[in-house]
Amino acid sequence: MKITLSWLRDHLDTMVEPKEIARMLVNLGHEVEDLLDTRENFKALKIAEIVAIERHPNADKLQICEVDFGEKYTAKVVCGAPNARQGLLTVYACEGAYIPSFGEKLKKAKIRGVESSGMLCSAKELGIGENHTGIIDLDVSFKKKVGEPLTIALGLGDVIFDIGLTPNRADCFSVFGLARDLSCTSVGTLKALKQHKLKGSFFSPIQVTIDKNALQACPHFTGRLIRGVKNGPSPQWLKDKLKSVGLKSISALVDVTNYFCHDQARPLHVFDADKLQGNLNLRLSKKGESFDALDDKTYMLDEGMLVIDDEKGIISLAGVMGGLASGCSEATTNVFLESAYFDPITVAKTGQKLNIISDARTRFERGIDPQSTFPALDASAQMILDLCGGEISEVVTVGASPYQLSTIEFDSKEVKKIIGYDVEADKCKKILQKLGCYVEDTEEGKFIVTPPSWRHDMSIKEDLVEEIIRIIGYGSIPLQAMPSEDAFPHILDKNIIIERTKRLLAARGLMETIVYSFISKNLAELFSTGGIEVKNPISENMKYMRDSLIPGLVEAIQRNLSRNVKNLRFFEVGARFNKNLTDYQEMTLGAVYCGSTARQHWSKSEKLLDLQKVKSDIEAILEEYGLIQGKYQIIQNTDKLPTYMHPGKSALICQGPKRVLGYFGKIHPGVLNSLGIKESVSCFELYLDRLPVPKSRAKNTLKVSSFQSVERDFAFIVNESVLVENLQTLLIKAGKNLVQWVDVFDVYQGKGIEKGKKSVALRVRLQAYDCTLNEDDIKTYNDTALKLLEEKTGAILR
Amino acid sequence: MSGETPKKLRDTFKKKLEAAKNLEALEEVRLDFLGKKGNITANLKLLSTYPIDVRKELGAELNKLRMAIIDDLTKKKEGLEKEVLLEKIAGEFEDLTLPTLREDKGCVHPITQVKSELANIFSKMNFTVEEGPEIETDFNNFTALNIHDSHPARQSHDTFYINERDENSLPFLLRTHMSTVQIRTMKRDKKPMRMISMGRCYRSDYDSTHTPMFHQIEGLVIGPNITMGNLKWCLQNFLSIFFEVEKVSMRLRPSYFPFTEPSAEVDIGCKRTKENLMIDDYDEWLEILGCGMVHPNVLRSCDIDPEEFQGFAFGCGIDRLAMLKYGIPDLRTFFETDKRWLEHYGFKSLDVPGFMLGEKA
Repeated sequence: MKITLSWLRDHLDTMVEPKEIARMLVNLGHEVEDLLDTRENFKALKIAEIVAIERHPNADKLQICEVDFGEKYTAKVVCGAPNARQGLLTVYACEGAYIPSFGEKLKKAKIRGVESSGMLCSAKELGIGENHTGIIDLDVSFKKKVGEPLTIALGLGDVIFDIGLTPNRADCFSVFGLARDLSCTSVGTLKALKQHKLKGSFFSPIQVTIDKNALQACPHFTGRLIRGVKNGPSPQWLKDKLKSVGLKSISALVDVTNYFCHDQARPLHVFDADKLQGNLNLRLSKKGESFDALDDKTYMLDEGMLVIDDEKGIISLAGVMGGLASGCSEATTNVFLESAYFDPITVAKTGQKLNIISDARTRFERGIDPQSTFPALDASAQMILDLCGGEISEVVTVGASPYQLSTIEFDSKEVKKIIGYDVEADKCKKILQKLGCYVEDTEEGKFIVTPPSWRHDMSIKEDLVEEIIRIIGYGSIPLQAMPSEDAFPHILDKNIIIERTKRLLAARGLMETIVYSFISKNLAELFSTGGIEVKNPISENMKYMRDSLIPGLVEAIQRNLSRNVKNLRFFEVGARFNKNLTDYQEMTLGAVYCGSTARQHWSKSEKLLDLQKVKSDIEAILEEYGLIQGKYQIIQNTDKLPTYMHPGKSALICQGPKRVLGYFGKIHPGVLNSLGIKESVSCFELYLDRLPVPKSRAKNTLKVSSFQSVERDFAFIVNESVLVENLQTLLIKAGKNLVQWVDVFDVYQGKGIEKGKKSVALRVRLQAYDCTLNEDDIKTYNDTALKLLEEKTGAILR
Repeated sequence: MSGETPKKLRDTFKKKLEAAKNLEALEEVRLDFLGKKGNITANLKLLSTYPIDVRKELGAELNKLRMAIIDDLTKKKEGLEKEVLLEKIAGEFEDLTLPTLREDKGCVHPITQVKSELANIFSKMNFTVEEGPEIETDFNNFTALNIHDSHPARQSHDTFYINERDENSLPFLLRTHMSTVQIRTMKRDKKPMRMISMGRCYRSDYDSTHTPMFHQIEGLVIGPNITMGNLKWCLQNFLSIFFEVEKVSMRLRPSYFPFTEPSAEVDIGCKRTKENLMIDDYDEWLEILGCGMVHPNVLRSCDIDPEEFQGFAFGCGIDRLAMLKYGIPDLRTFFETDKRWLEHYGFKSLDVPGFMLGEKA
């Protein structure tokens, strides 16, 4: 909300500098978002008199004016204004003065060969009026003020504070409210509002009723009919005032209501009484009713919105916006003035549902002062009488102010308990009184506090503590070390492992990313992942909570490739969402791979990011979790794999047949085609919550043999579909505890090998812990192994 | 051939040795003298035909000569070999300006880095790190936090909802702040605590400083005598360590949050140049976080008696902290997965906060 220094001074007696006022506003919790001092603009503009005038030698329409502007010397100014004449009192801008309508400073100029120092200004040029037919023509009273800057002579320029208010301080949505809050500090003293007690001279022919079920929404409604007004433009001071805070002047009657709204956070409404039919009634709307509002829009109402009816229909959406048909115009002669209390929740709900933002709504929904209804009615009626004349009716009133006195028991020791330092009881009491509270002493340091009607936000003792410390200043809160003994730190083991896993992958060349948890409908369909639908997505691209991290990561690959950025390895740790999961989510690690480990290198030593690379990363992670090879299984050819995976080149990672830890493989080429990705993409996902958290970091005793070990090579021909892992397992099995490791050092298909078969070469290391193996031992192993492999896999020694 | 005196033999050897210019010629010399049919060998064989006294003397001389020849040959051989090697490597050259294979380096995301820094800072102040789900109930996100149905704060949150409904038949929502974890932890423990929670939050908003998904850290301290002075101390410590300055300039000003009373907004002093933001000196205030004393209604909704315990809470954007500390201008870029951005703003795997390299967070 904007307020100006001059308006503030209507209510606050202060000579404090604007910057200091701004600082105090911030200290009080009213954030000053912007502070604009336009007075500077008018300081170099002065009252001046044309003392002599002559024709311009080179131009018919120009004259050369000799101008007295209070200095010992005069200035020669070339001027084209038709009203320039000797003796004219006007406004002179010397060189370097800021001209508001130019938006820049005045420079020296030569006009048709004659030097002009400075310029004489029109009202429009100064931004203080519309007149541009000639220069400003001041009356003779300004003769004494020649040389005075306009800031003083005309009171031009002001300071504008743009304030961000917190929603709890309904009372501060007004100039008066802010002045009242400031008056609790040393900035200035509050000027009391003038009380008006008007007497109506006739009985209002318009009467008002409130439906019983609408009394909650409108507990109190007051009004007066004012007859025989003469509406028209507002006087200049009112126009200026509204304009200075960014409000548009409409007509005197409407401007009066806007003035009270801004000045005292007291929304009012004026109806053109001649456009009303019969009496008024406040009721709750029915679903489907329509309403033509002042903003030229038609709204379809929902059930339970507070409306004002006349005998023809709805004339106002109470507290939110008036109706188009009953609005005041320049022709209005009889006006019905409304001052009411509307329930904040009802107004807020109506405003939210219809998406109407109005100054009235802003104030009603935060809660206006329930005791302001009568005083504001009379103060605004008086202002209408002053500006437009007319005759007022007696008050029309229905219901009563909903204000209920509430009290808070308060012990001044609470301040120390909450803030950490002591504020004397007497000081607490004084601050609360200044804020408008009624404070009654009970016993030593204890009070019963009755907050003022405009502070419905004060309801518990903590509120009072805040008020006291707010006025003293948050800056005075001391730094107090926290007691060090009352908690023990722990970071969950699983989070430490996640952190380690992230850094492990980073060390292995993967980049961690964070993508939105949302995916588009397209992507969800393409990957056939369910996910959870967002009811009110910000866009169609963010329609689902992802069921898998892979779609978003593949999309990231697509984006990078489209920018010609290649060789991509991304991983993310985040939740995946599914209705079948506990709390609908599960912490997941996902990674995608595309391209090589580096750009092409002359040594040809860059490596393809193939499934071998992917698998080795997975093994490294699982090792972090204490899962060494053999403690989990790679299961291929299963329908449990996601459909976006390549059926032959993907596998589940399991612990036993039922416990799926994750999966890896190549993304289905069909999916990639649809995304326009021509390169092969691999990926994996691990469900981190399902991985065990290793408990002990103690190590087993190292066992090494002091006897000679033996290595033997085998090359087998097997069917293509035989998994190499099976061969390895069988070779180990054949040796009981003798086999230390089995390496696969060649896998070959092609020339010399029958189609549908492959050659696999393996090296076995045999090692005993109690003796050196002799030829017989090795032969026994050979025979057993060959027999076992042939039996189980059909492997033939090559 | 036979019967040459050792002296003559030596002279002949010396000449031939002199003449041998390469390893092949040297080998010939060796064979000439020490080979099976070589001079020395032949002379040694002849010894048996001499009388015993001659044999003894001559034998000793010949053997001495033989040893000398072996020695000379070895020395010469080493010399020639060295020459050969020098000649060989004289023609050898490797271009050491050739580029090495620079495999793409991995990195962790700035959010991860900042989260680790925060966990590190707060665990030193005896805070635990708590967690909770991203899909939440209306109660945990709003009602328990003293934000009622029609509260104005509720609409400013721009909440995302899903179709599923909770036990109160209210739709589940995507948490709009990390306070939900505070509620869960208080309901679980119902006793003094110090905790932070960090994670993803969601609000329907999109511009250079707002994205529909963002990260927050929230902290909560509950105890019998926790004051706003403790809050200020805690924040002063946190912000100073985080921004790596001795003592951050900090300003608390009154504000409003439904879940705290009194409430405060915290600004830190900073100085901005075109490129940088400096925290150690200041000429303006920068809003950094919101905080306050936990509202008694919030404690009550978690079955904690506000007469027995009180405490403070604070909340802050992790993304914003990362942007400020590491000079990242646009929040939207955090979630774009642009490899070039990650290379530039990401952190090395070993850049572990609080680990090894002193106490800098």
